[in-house]
Amino acid sequence: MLVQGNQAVFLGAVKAGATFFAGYPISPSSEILVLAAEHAARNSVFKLIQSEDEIGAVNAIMGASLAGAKSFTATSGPGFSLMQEAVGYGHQVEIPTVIVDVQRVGPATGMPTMPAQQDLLQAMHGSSGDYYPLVFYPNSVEECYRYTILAFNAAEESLSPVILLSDAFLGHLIETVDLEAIPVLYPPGIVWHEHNLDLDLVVPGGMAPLEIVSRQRPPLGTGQRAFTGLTHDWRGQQRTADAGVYREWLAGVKKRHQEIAGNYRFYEYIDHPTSDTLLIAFGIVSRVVRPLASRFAIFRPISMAPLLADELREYGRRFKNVVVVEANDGQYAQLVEWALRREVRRVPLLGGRMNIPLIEAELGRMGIGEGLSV
Amino acid sequence: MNNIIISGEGGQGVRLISHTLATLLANLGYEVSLLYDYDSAVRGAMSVAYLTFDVQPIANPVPDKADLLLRLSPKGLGFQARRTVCESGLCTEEEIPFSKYGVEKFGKEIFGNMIAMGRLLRLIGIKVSRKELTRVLPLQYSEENVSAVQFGYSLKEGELGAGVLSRQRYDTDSEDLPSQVEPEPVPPQ
Repeated sequence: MLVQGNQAVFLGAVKAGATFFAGYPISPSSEILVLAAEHAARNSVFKLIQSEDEIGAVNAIMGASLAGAKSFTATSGPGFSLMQEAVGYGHQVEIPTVIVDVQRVGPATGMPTMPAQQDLLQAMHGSSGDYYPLVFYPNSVEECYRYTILAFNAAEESLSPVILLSDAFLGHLIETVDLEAIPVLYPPGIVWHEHNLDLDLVVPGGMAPLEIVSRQRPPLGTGQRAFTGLTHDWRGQQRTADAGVYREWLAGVKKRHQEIAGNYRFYEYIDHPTSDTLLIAFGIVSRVVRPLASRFAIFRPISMAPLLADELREYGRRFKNVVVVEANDGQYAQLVEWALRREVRRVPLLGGRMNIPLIEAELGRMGIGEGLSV
Repeated sequence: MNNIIISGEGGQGVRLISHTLATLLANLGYEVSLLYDYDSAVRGAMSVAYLTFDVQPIANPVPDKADLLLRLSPKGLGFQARRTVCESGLCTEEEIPFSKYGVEKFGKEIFGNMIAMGRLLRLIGIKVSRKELTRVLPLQYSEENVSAVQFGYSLKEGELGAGVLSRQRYDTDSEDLPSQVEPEPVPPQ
């Protein structure tokens, strides 16, 4: 079966139990909105809002989540920027939802169909205040499906907006994949809407099933509830000058996120017994880099935030050279430098172009890997 | 040939050719990746498709060079390829006047893209039945499209040359496209 990356994201969201989507069209994410509209037309339990802009979209999914629905939106860099205020609101009010950012070259409207990884730091620190987002970045169509489901799970467990990063190439990549062969288990006692009735999946040996995490929050209307972006106590009452309440709240949220994040530490490491160089790449760039595994070790973070600092230290210390190859001007590289407390080399792939000769040329300028061929 | 790059401009059918080929290859049991690389302008801007197929999972879906390159337009990036097939005037290797044939044989220039697809099918050695082609091509102009693919598939190898030679009128042999050959299964992995 041929499936597109954006399509796999949508199918993963439905599989995870999403029943609400709000969005505003923007390349290269628009296929997700189109699929949501088609799905809503066929399934009365699935609701859609094509909003007036991305601010409306992100606030709609926050409201839908508070009302009991698993919700999500999809956008690209410029729209993601508009959503940042609501991301902070979602962390303050503790709203589980999923935001998909199919990245393109920026800043601003930039290059609408060209792939980039330039929203990485925005995904981690785009809103105001202290908060602890979970961010995932798959690298294949199959992983788009898998990590969308996991993003919904992480949102439910962490009670926060979870970011799923993609990019123009990954979102538009079409690959043969058998999504039905990926085992997905639903929790017992959950009544699913008719479009989610898919409970008789065979679990292939050796493949860990994805267990859907059910809704954690009670839906709106089961009691008196108040929601505010102002600092508040557990009843939702404003406590805007009470440092103690704020500290207690932030410590609790931080602790919960750290615990939950511990269950979502995903990465791939490909060893090379004789190389003195570790390449670090993620998302679509990690696919481009993959043929270089014959010459170098490769580390691929899938969980982008919180930073996989322990894993980076564990693998990074083994190598003389650590090189971060990414489609931005060194956003992840600076985080790796912080984690390793040492200089790392950078191969920025800019303007939407990425291929082995570009990477080899940069490595060659650094004197890395000379005389070796793929 | 496992890496195919199709280079053209918006409106020429780069997506239709590549997605149809990808579907045919996937139906034969191959692992397939297809990536579109295009400018945001809808018509007339660069449009490139990277199509990779293999019996193994595909590591890199963004190849920097192709086993086979089809160039339909002067737009697009410079690609390295072991073999290049192009619209007349665009390369010094195998030139075929796809657009001209589209007009002469099927009444519209646009059918040149289906003739080009037929040529690609021949070069990558994929046999496909008219029935299967009909199933994967758009319903509109289905008969003309299938016939155009058949025409492209049937261009005689010995008469295809570079430059001036390739501009000669080709004879075709419709028997070269098997009408009811079943797809060959991929060997078990």
